Amino acid sequence: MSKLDGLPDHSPSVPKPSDFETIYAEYVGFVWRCLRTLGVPDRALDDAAQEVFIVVHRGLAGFRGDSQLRTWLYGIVRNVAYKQARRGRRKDRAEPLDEGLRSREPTPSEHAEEAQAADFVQRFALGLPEKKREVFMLALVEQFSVPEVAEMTGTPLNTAYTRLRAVRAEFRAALLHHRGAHDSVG
Amino acid sequence: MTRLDDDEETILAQARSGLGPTNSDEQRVLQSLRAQIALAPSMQNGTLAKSPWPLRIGGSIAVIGAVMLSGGLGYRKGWEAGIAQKSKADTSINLLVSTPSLPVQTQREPPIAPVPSVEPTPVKLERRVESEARSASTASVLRTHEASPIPSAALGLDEEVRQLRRVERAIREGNPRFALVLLEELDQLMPAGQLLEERRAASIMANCQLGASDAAAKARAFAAKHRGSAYLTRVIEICGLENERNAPGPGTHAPRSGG
Repeated sequence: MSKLDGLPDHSPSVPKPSDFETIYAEYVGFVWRCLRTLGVPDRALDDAAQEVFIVVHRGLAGFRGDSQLRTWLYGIVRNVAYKQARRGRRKDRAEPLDEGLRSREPTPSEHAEEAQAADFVQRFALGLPEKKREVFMLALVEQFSVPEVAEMTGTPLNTAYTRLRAVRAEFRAALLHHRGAHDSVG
Repeated sequence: MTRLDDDEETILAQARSGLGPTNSDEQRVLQSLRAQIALAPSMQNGTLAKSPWPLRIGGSIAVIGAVMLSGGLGYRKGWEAGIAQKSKADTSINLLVSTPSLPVQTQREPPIAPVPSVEPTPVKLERRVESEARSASTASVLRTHEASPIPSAALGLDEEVRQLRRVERAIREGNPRFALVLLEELDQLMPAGQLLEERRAASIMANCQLGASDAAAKARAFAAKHRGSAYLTRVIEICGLENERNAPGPGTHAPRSGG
């Protein structure tokens, strides 16, 4: 699978575990996108990202094995995201105004196309069952290989492939629908 | 296997960019992390104490001052070293931020119209440092440091609420020093906000958690002045004034029970 521009290079230069700042700089984008895609509302992203990196900082001393860093990091992200999502659901019952799923307003420094694409992808992801959502996010959004996704999610390789095939088809269908192309294509 | 076509690759690439943090997001989170790490001495070597941080007030005030002024001057050298190791040129994190607070306005909100008619008034940072253990040097630095507040109307109530929620959370989680840092940031950015009573209550609670000697007196004064405050019960609890509820002394009020 070809890497796209803007993607972090996951494989070659994993930062030293002791270098917290480097890890932050290298992975904050990954963490942020995962948190959003896993359902953390925008208003809670700051806190969630902080929580992730505080846990990272806390655990660096005992961390072993650079090759497992992203797996370890994703495990933290997943825990924090689900915890935040639960908090968000409780909060939303009291505060019906759900900013988390509201479309982001494009800002002067943010291209409208990117914001729209992000909104579409986020909504699609949030509509998926949890396990498919993880595969979608890690394999298609973050461009990890399927074996890497299987490792990060603790899923058998064949299962990961199966889920990826299914989620690709769903994504294609959703995209066609989104663009109103299904009438002409169908 | 179903492969993605160019159209799908394109939207995913766009989404990847759109879903990621802006530079402002990165800096804001980084600033908070730096504050938290600097405030937790045991984190300096990569390990964070599992128990609540010790209540060493003098040290904490010094750290708060340092964090507020430079994001942790002592931390800065290490941070500069960190920069040198960064290989990604596009990270764009200004790690040498010398201002104590970052603009809270994020790109997630509609752009703020400039408010040229409102002349920002420099704010002197001395309110929160109210412990007797305040070091003279830190106090001096804090008094002379000038911030550039953003007119409250520009930031809006939502932002003030958002920041106060973070303060509340820090207090709930037993991290009063971080709560005070956040309050200082809020004071700088929005000196004339709409939730000043709430800020005052949060400040008192955080100082009580830190064990500041004058915190109880300030809590009593708050209870007397804001008898209807929604924060009253928590202020009383955190500051240990329950015993005074039914025995008001001169100049104090017995807070409403269950209030």
